[in-house]
Amino acid sequence: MPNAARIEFDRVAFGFGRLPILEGLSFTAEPGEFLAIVGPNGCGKSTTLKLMAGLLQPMSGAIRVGEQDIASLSRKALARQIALLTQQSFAPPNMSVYDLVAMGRFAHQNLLARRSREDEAQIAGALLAMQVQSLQQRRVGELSGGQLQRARMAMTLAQDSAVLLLDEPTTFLDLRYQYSILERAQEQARAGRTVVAVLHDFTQASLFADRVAVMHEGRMVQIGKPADVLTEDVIAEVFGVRTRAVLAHGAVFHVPESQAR
Amino acid sequence: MSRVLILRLGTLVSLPISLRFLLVAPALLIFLAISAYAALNIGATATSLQDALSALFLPLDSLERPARAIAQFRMPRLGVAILAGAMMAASGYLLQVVSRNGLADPGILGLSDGAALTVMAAGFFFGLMPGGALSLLALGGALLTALVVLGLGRHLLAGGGIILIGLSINIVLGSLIEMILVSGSAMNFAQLMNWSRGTLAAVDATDLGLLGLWFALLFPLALLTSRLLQPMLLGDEPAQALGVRARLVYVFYVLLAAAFAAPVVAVCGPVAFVGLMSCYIARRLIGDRPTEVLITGMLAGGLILLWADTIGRSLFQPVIISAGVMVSVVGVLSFILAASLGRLQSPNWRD
Repeated sequence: MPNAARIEFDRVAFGFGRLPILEGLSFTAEPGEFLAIVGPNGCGKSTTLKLMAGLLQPMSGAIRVGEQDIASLSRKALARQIALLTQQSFAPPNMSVYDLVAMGRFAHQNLLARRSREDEAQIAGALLAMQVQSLQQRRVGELSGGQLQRARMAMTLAQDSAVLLLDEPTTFLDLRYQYSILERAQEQARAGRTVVAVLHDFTQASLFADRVAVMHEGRMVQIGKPADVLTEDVIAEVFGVRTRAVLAHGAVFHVPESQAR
Repeated sequence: MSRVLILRLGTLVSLPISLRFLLVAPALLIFLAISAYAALNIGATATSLQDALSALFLPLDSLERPARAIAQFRMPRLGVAILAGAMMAASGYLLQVVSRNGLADPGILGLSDGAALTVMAAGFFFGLMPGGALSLLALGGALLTALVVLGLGRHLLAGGGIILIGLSINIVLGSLIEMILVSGSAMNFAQLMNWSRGTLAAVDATDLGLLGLWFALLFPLALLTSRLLQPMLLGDEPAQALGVRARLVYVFYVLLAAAFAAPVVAVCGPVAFVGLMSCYIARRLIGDRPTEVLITGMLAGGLILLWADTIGRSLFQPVIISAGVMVSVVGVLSFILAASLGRLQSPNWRD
């Protein structure tokens, strides 16, 4: 089981050149929690995840994993703490699924020990968790979009990190794989990991996430239980769309007012 | 897809090796040995098995013609062909991985022309120079070009942007080389022209020693760092998320690729196309397992240049076709063949 670690944003600001993207962002995500980040395009959701994963450096403020500032960790040490499923990556078509997943172990390996028993156990666990064992000898180029995404997620799980970051993990997937990916993510949170996912679908966010953070123009507008946060007023303020909210089956549904009957 | 064996020595060593590689690499090695033996015996002077063996194992002074010719000319030439092909292949593959473009090679990125330009400029201004000095000059030219390409392309590092920069630099360097060629004296011109096409006609044992030295220096370095190659196939950000210092690795491999290409250019001219071709073949044989593709590509590169040179110097005797031209001919034919088989999608890693 991975070590537990909370993620903490402490008044983080970030921008490209003079253009501010994030201003004074503060929040935490706890071990065992699934936190969903929602918000309109360009509000800084992906930037927030990239900052968390150390792909970008904040201009001011601090980001901590456990009690450590991520700026003080080496790239490898950080990768052992935080795994990121990026929005997109090149998929080498002639690589086997097993080799792809095995790359998740990079931060745990060195020059001559590239596939230890521990590595093999973690890879097998990740293949099992994402239900891709039967695909492990297949070439990446032969996979469907849903299979590829599950294989990439398995690679991220093999990293055996305390924190799991998912950047729009369900985009381009059909309904079955969308739910499959989110269920796996929820399982990881239940197992003690800190899971943070950027999502676009309120219904999915409310179904799977323990808390939802709503971002708007580089600020966190609301953070809390899905039903408390995903309200008609918040959606109208953030997305500029009047909706009618419905609570059913433990999920929040938003229907545009103009279409509501 | 191929199965994988794990080579283990206690907990210290555990390297995954694919069965496919365990079949392909020894097969290529055996073919290379046979080819080398054949190349020793093919040529304008008829030789026998006896001659080749005595050339291999007896000291040079005790040899008579034609064994002496084998030891003095054909053996160094053969060694240079194999090493040069292997080093160009290594250079090409490293560039292909970091640019995530199966069509990258030291020629396209301008590295080999950078090396060629410094060598030619030196020849133009200072006349004949020893091989060691030339290879250092070439290294300087190749590294400088690599730095310029990296510097101009630093905002484009993600994706294949560096290819565009390299291509433009390559065109500039190419025209400078032409300028030197056309303004050279008549005697110089023929020599430089021949060299600028890529030829092994003038190599000797010193050149072989020089290439061998560079090879012994660079190959272990490439092999020891090769575990960094695989995550780079995914792109900058995913590689970073896996714990790779992607920017640093990128710069390191471009410089290493330049270092591989430079001594080859100094010795036998820009035969960069070998790098592209041999890695294409290696990837088809192995798949995306970078360390194994690197070694396989180097074996294939050695084979291609060896045969290009051997055929070029023997097929149309007494006319000698330079290895660079032969490589282009063989390469173009094999690419047309590959394309007509509908298999050219794979050099491009983009999905």
